[in-house]
This record gives sequence, C-alpha cells and structure tokens, in this order.
Amino acid sequence: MLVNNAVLPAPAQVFWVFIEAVQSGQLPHHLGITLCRLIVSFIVAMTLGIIIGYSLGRSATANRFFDHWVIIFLNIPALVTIILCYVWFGLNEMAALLAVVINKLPNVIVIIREGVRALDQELLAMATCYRLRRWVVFRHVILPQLHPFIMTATRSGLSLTWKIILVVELLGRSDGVGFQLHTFFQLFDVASILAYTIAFVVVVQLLEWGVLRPLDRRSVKWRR
Amino acid sequence: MNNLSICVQAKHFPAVGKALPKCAIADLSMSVQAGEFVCLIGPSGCGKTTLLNIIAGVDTQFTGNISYSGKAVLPKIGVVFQQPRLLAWRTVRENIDLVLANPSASAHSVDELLALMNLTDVQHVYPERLSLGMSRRVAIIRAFAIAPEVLLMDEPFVSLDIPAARQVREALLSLWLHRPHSVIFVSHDLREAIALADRILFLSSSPMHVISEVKVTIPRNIRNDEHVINAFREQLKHELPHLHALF
Repeated sequence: MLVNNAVLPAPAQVFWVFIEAVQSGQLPHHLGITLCRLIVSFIVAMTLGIIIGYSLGRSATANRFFDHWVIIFLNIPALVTIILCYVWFGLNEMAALLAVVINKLPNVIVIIREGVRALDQELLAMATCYRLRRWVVFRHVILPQLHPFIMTATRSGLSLTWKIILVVELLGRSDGVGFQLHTFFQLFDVASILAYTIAFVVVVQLLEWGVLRPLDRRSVKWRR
Repeated sequence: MNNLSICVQAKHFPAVGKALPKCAIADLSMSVQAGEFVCLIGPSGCGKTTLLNIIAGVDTQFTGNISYSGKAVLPKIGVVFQQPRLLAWRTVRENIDLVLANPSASAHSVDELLALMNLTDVQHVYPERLSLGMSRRVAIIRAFAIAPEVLLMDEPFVSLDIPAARQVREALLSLWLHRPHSVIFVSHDLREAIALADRILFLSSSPMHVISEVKVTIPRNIRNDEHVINAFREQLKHELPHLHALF
C-alpha cells in the first residue's frame, strides 16, 4: 500500500507537494532558470532559423548546397548533439544553450523555407513594378505571408525546446527543472515529479493564451 | 520628347518538364509618345502579358532594350494587372498608400481618386470583402496615385459586367485626360480599343511581333457613340482583311 502511494500519489498529496515547493522557493527558482534558458535558446534559434530558411527558400543554389546538411541535422538524435556539445565545449551554460539551438534550428529552417517557397510571385512582381524598397516589401508583402509559418515554427519549436532543455539540464547542469527531475527520479519521489509537471503545464498554457493566441488573432483580422 | 521605345529582339522560355522551350517574342519594336494611349491587340496566349512584364522591369531575361527619352532608365510606371493583386492583409487605403513615396503629401489626391471611383466608403475595408469590380478599381487608383509617366494595363476590365466596365472605362478616360501620360493598354476587344486608343497595334501569335498599326482618327468627344465605333471597326475589317482572326 505504501509503495503504491509513492508510485501513484493522490491528487491532494501532489497539490500539497506543489504548494510546499512553491513556498520553499525551490520550484520558482528552478523553473525560472529553465525559462531563461528557453527564452534565450528559442530567440537565437528562431532568428537564425528565419534568416537561414529565408535565404534557402530564395536561392536555389544555396539550397542545393545546404539541403543535405539540413536533413542531417534534422535527424541527428538530440542526445548525440547534447553529449557532443558537453564533451567538446565543457559542462557550461554556453554548451547547454548551443545544444538546444542546434536541435531546434533545422526544424525552423525547414518550415520557413517552405513558407518562402509558397510566397505569391504575383504580389512580388507587383512590388517590383512599383519599385518598393526592400524593407517595405519584406514588411508588408513577405512577412504577412510568412506569419502562419512562423507561428507553426514557434509552436512546434516551443514544445521541442522544452523537451530538449530538460534533457540538457539532466545531463550536465546543476539547476533547472531537468536537474530537479533527475534528483526526484533517484529518490523515487513521484509526487514532486508530478508537481513540477503541473507547474510546466501552467506555464505552457500561460504562454499559449498570453502570447501566441493574441499573435494569431492579430494576423487573421483581415480574413472574411 | 519623353517617348518610350521598346525593342525586344528575343524572349525565350526554357523547357520545363515535358513542355518544349518557347520563343515568346521575336523582333518586336514599338514606341509610345508622351501622353499617347496605345492599345495592343493580339490572340490569346501570344505573349502580351510577357511583354508588359518586360516593360515593367519584372522580367529581365530577354535580349533587346527598353529606353525612355533616350536613356536606358525605366520611367515611373503604374501597372494594372489582369488580377487586382492587392495585399489581402492591408486595407484598401493601405494598399494605395503602400506604393506612394509620401502618402501624407498625396492624401488629397488619393481622396479625390477614391471619390471618383466611388470607393470612399470602403477605403478602410480589407480587399477580401470587396467585389472583383471594386478590387479592380482599387488597382486602377493605385496605378494612378503614383502619378505615373507610363501606365501599363493588362485587360483591366475583363470579367466586369458591362455597366461596371463602362463606368470604370469612363473614369479611366477622365483621369487620363486630366493628366495625360503614356498608356499601353492590352485588350482583346477591338471595340474597347477603338473607344480608348490613339493608336492600335495588332500583334501576331507567338513568337509575337507587330503585324500592323492603325491610328484611331475619331475625335474623342464622339467616341461614346456605338455607331461610330462599329463603323470604324467595319472599316478596319475591310482595310485589313488579313487580320480577320483578331476582330
């Protein structure tokens, strides 16, 4: 009975563990650190991914050259890049972030490249006829067409980044949610693992409703 | 004078898949005087749109040269395409302002154009809510708003019903008379061409070149008379029997 309780704790028990972890400051501390890593690696990966994906979508020559590399990096197991980053660059923050970015980047590149290939050529021709400046074309003609693709890359990217960051923390960091989960695993503390999972779900929902949905709504207000 | 001279020695499309390579234009030369309204008439698929793309500077893969008042610099060009090509995510007004160098300075003239085309009420509406006829009028305003030196129009009245087409055509003419500039107008309707043009160029099927050209001598003030237009058309048929397929 006791074992069963530990392996599958009652909701009330998980709730109290959760409250305790929040009050002790442990959960906010580790969740905060994981969130910081998420934001930094996510911004870097999205920015690089949009730039590279855009270039590959526009230039057939560049795409022919880099296409194999994108496919290779897309399919290298996350664990391999994480281990190699730690081995080559040491057990430090830079290596951790680099591992996350390398895992996420090919995903963004592939999605944005597809978006650039789907751009409406007639509208681009119109922009050429009217001699619109490059920045104006990018902002008013290209970006709105890429918006759905960027949103897809953001959503799939966020979920992927979460998962990878935890593994990165578990393998080579001494703080963050991944590190904590590792500790709880060694102690067989399922209640704490579930409590951290709840915190995770809450943060993800907040991001979805606070940031992503409003961005979605902004982009579709012109649709009938 | 600011005349536009167009000389396209050859325009090829390379083979794609099972489609054979195609020579779209060969040895075409024409010129348009300042303030002149020229209509191009040719069989469907002969390469008229390709030619407009070359003149507009969209298509640079051709041999030949385009010069404006003796220089190889393209003039300020307004274009009305077969499809309106408006940005669906910008309102009517934003679509027009987008192509203007200084929207606030041109605000008054854009207001006038909107009023003339009966679009003042929908200027803050997104294009998806407009009918095709309204979208076409927006595209025409956009082309006029930049005060072009050369205006290119690619069958801009296609698929408009007759009253709507007449209304837009009259608006176009009054705008052009108000501020004369060179117009190259692609059409497949000889009556429309006679009603609008100073000069009509007849084009061959591909590889496209100019077969024949006709000056329209009817005074502008009697051109809305159907009988006059039809009489001129019959006369052309008689004079140019080899162009019968185009009439």
